Amino acid sequence: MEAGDTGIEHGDLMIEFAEAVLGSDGDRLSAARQAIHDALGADAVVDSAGVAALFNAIDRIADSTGAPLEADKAAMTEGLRAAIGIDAFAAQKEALDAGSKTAAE
Amino acid sequence: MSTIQYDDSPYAVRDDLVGAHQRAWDHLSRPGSWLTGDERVNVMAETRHARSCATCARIKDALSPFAVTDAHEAGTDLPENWVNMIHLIVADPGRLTHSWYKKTLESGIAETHFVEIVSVVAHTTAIDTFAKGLGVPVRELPEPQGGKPSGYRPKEARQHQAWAPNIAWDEFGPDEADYFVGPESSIRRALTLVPNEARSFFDVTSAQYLAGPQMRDFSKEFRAITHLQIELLAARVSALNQCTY
Repeated sequence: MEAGDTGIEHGDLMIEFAEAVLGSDGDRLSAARQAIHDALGADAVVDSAGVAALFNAIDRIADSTGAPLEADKAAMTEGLRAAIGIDAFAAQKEALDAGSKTAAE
Repeated sequence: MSTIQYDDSPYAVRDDLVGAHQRAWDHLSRPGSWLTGDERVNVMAETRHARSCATCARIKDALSPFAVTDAHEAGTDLPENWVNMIHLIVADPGRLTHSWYKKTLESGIAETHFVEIVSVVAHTTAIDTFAKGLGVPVRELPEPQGGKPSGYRPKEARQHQAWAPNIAWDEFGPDEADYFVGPESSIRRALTLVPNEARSFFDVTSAQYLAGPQMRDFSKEFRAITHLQIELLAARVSALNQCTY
């Protein structure tokens, strides 16, 4: 997904902040933070940091406990999941699981 | 009480968010249902240490996370199987598998302890990443508090589709009635084998993200970024983490 293609106002800033906060480039993160501040204000920096950080944690709960996606959410997001590559992650995980079982046998 | 503040932040942090982090820090410092206060604060420390572990870096680069068998660089005196579990959740969550979960239990970590460790890692990740996002140092870890874990396991928790046992949305008992409010959600069920962990994490969730009713109320905005911006940000983070949930 290219920044700016989302159709969401300042979506490019949200994507850049997400990538920067999960990355290791301090200058990039500073710039992403400043861009949100300049466009949306100081409170938006706090809320962006809160949301990004929370999902960085929720992902770990879901992935370590095997929390299944609800059927209705899966149906609603079917096209989006295929388009942004999430289905590929699921397939990769199944392959890893199968490989792990084979290795253990 | 172990406290947490953001007085050094160039951006004013909402009081409700500071309050949620203070409650979480206090919660994490106390004995849980299965772990002591010392163990919980050590899990927090190990979560932080994992971010600079060379073995974890090799795992992230490997074709399979299970192909790297080097020992992790422990930063605490936690048991090796705990360290292995914590480091992999921190370093490569998107490639954790059901086989990994089962092997982790077979290594001697009870499913109750597993869920509580996941919760402590998640709390620490949420609060540390928030500090990074703001541009301030991670907060000082809380002082562990004495006492014994409660040993509470809700009798309604059982195996469902998820790897870890949990309480089904329509099977909760009176002790958990406060928690099972609103539409069913797999992620809200994920930690319910240890209900106090679920309560605490979703208290942080309400402050950093949105409370349940706010998520579905599109008639107004509750944050300085819109519902759409919030969901885009969340989706991008989850995609980067290769999270399939």
